[in-house]
Amino acid sequence: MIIADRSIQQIAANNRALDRIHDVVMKIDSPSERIRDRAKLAEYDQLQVDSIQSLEDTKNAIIFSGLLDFLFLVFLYGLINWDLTKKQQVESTLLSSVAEFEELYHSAPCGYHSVDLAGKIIKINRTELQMLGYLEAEVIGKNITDLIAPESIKPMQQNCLALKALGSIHDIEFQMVRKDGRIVPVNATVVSVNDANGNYLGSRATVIDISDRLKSRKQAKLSREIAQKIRQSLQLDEILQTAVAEIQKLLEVDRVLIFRFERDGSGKVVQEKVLAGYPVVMGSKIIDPCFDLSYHDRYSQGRIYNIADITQAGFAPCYVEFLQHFDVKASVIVPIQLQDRLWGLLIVHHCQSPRIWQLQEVAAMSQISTQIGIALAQAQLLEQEQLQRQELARSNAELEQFAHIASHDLQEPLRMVISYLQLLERRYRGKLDRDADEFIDYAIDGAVRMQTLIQALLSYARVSSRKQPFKAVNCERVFQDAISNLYVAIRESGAIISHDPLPVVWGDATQLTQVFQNLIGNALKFRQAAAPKIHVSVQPISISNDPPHPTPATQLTIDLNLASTTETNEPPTAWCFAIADNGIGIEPQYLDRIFAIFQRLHTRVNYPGTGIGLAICKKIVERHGGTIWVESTPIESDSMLSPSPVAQSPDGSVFYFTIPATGSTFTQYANKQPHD
Amino acid sequence: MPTNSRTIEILLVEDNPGDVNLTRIALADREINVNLSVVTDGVEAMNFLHRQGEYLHAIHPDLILLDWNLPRKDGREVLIEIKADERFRRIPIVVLTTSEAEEDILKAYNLHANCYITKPVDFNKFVEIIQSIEDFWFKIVKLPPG
Repeated sequence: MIIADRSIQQIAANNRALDRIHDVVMKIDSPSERIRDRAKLAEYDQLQVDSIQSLEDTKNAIIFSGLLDFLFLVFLYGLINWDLTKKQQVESTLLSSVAEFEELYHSAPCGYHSVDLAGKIIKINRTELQMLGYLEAEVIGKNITDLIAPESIKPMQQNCLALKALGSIHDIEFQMVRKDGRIVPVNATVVSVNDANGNYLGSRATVIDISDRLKSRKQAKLSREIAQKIRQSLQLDEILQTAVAEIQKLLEVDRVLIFRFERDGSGKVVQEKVLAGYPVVMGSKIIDPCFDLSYHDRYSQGRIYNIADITQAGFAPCYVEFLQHFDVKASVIVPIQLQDRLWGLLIVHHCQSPRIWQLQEVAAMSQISTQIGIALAQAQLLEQEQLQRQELARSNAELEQFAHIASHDLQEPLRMVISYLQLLERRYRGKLDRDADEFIDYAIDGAVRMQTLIQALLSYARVSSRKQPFKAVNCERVFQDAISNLYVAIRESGAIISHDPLPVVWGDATQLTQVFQNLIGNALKFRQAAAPKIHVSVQPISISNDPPHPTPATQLTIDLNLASTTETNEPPTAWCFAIADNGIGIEPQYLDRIFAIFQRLHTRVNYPGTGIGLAICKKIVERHGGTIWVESTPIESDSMLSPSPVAQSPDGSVFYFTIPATGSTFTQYANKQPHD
Repeated sequence: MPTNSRTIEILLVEDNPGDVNLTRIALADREINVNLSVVTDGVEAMNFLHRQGEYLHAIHPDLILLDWNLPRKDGREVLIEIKADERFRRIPIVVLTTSEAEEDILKAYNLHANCYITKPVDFNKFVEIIQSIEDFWFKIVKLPPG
């Protein structure tokens, strides 16, 4: 029994030791998972588990062996003694570990603290104390909420509920207050401490100061915003102005410059944002003899210069002097590339003091410089486009100016010539000699012809100057208008004019009427002795790529496409109109020439005219996105382009022109019943 | 209607002497008695109407033939000034010009020109037109009492 009593005493002692270990463990294990020295931690954990386990086993054995015999008790005694020896060894090991871990706990790079059930701080490490500017004695016993910013308290209370429910909460962000009142943004992970029954006893937290992280996050967001702002503009000046102003705000620097290289490698500051009190660089002459040209090459390769202190950067003394002239103490220089070419430099200056640039600051500048480069490329494109547009507008204005000159200034003197020649003729015909009468006739004829040409030129110019916006145009109506305009010529020639059902197209009705009128008028004019037969037909065609040109080679392409369209029933991309006649035809070598301005194939005596009609047709058809050509060779009967028997007459010609079709206009045609 | 005994006063505003001469020829040998006064630009035209400077004894015209493109003060400005003046706005104004420009035609009528005529190239037609003007304004039309 004595032995048994002693055993029980031992067991009690054993239990005390066990509790002691528990205490130590409670004290030091709290932030242990964050301690850097993970190897030691693992060792410690293992030790702890082993020792607790073995002692637990011993205790249980004694409780169950109350009635065992002496020998067994002696054995047990020996066992306990052995075990106690072992336990003492464990304890001493633990004590040295505790000191070590206390040190690790306090010097950890993040803050640790533990609070009790009521939220009172029971333990806090040095790192967190330094972070908050307190001494340990000042905060132990204080409620943790005293260290939390008022606006963070409410969310923290909710977090506390989550903690009790879940056992831990991770990466929560809130604000703590320093002793001096300054706010410290933190990220924390909190783990609840419970008793064996799972009752909440308190919590321990890992706290990290995230001021820098937030700052760089904010900077990243800002530089994204800046990039957006820069990209919003397409005006060069505006882009650069936005860039310098925004970078100055973002990096809180004293000066931001944009330096632009010229073709010869020199350059100048084109934009600057400088705080009041520092010298302005823009506009001042930078002839820098110390500026090493090799820098240019390095910038071209995308090299960034990050200079914390210009006096320590190894610059040539005169260059340092140059920088000092503008109060520069620290600088970052980032190249601006425009489509693989070094366009310029984005430069920031710190003038108050030298400055160690944060990596994210340099990264932000680099990012913004890329955006500037993209914005510049876009601005350049726009500028080129604007120049072209201006050039076009200018040439159009010139043409209109010319039309005006032609309509007035050129006609005025010509009218004088003609009028006075006619007056001369009226008063002196027959009074001078025969030659004089003839000369006057020639002079009048020439002058009148010139007047006609000016009128023709004017009507050609009017295709552009008097154009109407496109509308849905019924070609049936257009055809009828053209016919009625040609009424006299048709009646006189006894012409027979027939036509297919004509579609609705997208175009300028007045101009399309002019095309029909000119082409039918041509057929009436260049007729043979027999009465003219004219047929207007139309075919839907499919032109795959570029609009064809009126050359024989392209005509072949159209033929093929036409055939395939008919076979496959693909929606047409254009209407191909054909105006076929039985007239005098055109010799093949002139097929292209006839569309040029003032080109005539016949004498005025046989076929009067200025030679502007087909040029006007060409201009109108091209304005509609179509193409025009003529064929004179008789067409084989199996050809898809043979619109009617008229076209197969041995002579004559067929004028073709295309007008792009839209889906809706095609449907209107398809639904229409042919009436021919 | 002016009778044959009364001389018709026409003011021609024209800078081209050739046209002045053609107009004179066209107006000659007519049964209507016409006195043609000629000024060569818009400033002169206004001086004539206001009887200023050398036109102190100028006669109030029954009709104005106005060229559109004139030196110093052009036809457009002359038209505006005359039509804005209580004393002159009843005088019929025939715009007689080479311009066939639609905008010129529109402009002239918008500024209350009484008619717009494009000078024909053909001399015979020119004579015809001038005589038509004469016939229309002095034989057909009832003009406001002078």
